[in-house]
Amino acid sequence: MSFTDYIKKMLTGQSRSSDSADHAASQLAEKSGPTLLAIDTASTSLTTAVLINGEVKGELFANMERGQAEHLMSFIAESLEKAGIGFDAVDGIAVTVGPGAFTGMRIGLATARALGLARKIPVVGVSSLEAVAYGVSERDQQGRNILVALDSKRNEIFAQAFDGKKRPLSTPECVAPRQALMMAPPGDTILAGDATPRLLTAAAHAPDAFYDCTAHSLPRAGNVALIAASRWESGENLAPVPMYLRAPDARRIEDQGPQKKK
Amino acid sequence: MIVLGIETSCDETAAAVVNDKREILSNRVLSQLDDHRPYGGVVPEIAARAHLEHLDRLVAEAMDDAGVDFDDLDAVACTGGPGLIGGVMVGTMTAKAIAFAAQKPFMAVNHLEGHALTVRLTDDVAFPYLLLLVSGGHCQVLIVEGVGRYKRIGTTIDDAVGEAFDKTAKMMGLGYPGGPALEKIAEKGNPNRFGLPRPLRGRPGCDFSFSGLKTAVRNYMDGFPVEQQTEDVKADLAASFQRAVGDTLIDRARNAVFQFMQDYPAGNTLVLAGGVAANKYLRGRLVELTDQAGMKLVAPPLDLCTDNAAMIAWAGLERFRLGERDDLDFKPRPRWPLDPQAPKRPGAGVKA
Repeated sequence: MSFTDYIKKMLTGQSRSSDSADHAASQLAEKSGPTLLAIDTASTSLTTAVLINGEVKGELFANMERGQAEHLMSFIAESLEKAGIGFDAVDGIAVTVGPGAFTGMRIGLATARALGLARKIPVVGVSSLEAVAYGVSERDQQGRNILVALDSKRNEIFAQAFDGKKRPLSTPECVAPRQALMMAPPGDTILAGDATPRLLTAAAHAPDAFYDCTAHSLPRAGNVALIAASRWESGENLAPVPMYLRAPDARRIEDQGPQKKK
Repeated sequence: MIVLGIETSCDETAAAVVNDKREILSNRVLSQLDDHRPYGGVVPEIAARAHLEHLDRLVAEAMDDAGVDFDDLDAVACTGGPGLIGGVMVGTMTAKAIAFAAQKPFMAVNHLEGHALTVRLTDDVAFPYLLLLVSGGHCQVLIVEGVGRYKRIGTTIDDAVGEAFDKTAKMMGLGYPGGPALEKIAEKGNPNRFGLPRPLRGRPGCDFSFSGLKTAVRNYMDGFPVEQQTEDVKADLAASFQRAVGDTLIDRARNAVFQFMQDYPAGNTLVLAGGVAANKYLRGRLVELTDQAGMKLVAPPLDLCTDNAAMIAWAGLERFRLGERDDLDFKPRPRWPLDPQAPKRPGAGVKA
């Protein structure tokens, strides 16, 4: 397969685990599920992990506002080392596609896509909102709906509602906190994500309906890997393209008004 | 020796493969012009999005065009700055990841060094030489002593030349990017109709300034009611503007040539690089200057004067064969002067 063909397949979602069978065949004979490297830099953190035989290994997590571009490769190397494998043993890459910090999303996605290209292995995307929902424990959730909210550094937040089985109840949106609250159906709702405090403030009128929880407020690479692995065979993972949910800040020339005089 | 290069510092997404026999094995460039045109200038966030969308495909195409595999490479080079940081991040991470996966050395190249060394790829020019780097984002005069050894002897203190062309053209309603459009209508115009300043002319040194010139054009434009802003007026104004830029550029370049000839008697080449090298009028003026001085003017072919990845691959190769390497924890640099000793300047010179 040429590199160009690889890219076409990957970005149209046609790249499947079977494409990496030649890599996989040389690996452990009786492994269960794909060996994945997971990356998340789409929020204010950096996290990497490896999934082998359905088990998360070598998960690293650091809060990081800046510096992801500098530290990502050494995190990847350390996760692989802790998991006891070389990069050659990896069947595919899982990466968060946001929503989140635009530059952060691109750092992870550019890295993941290039890692995939260099080895011609599949690269799949995982929603950051879903990764946070995945981290809510059964004990916290108790079958209730979850509303995940991630910070967007603006007035709006990135939000999505999930049901008791963590299936999406809404599409991911970039909305004001009060609007986000309406994404969850009436009833008790668990809040998760780093914008939870803003949801709680907005929910002051209904303090008995919304509950904070103990889940991590940002995605964990281990959960990103587990989500990707669960959809690996079916090919239902997202394509590794960013979920911006917000247009770039730019004014078209006709809206720029008269030139300022210096 | 084969090196892959990646360029994403402004509004061109590019990937190329070159070897140490000075052969360009592939050279893919995707211009984002259409993405930015509605905004009348490069929008950094739009640029960064487009780089991510297209870069891995362009790398794949460059590799396929060159008929090489990642295992065949000796190094992976990318623009590590200066430039729009969102785009530089995309290119840098892509290069780091390929270097990591293919276990090849990683080279973070200064974008300006790419422009500075291109003539060694295309024309095998020997050190030292004088370099006039003029583009939409950069405007400086450098003495190139060797790989990694640059002495900046002049820079703009406000706008870059290409920027002055683009902004002036925008003011005159010539569209985006306006530089080439302005040159085109200037052909029909009378360059003597409007008196415009020649900033810094006659002053010692090789610094440039173009913003006063731009303002003077605006004042003329504002002096005409809209219905009198005819094609003839615009053509005359464009021609007058272009001549003023030429006069000031030549004045500053002459000082640079004197200084270079004095300090580097062995050198006899003036290299012209950057997108403004496409301007035939300015190029002609520079040929006159070098002819007078007994020097040679060398400019790479146009597609290697504007932003491209072959120049990044080549600069990476030049540094690689001198034994240099960069770490995978390299931090992309929005500001990265080629000559760290040169004083900081405002305007387009601030980043480089």
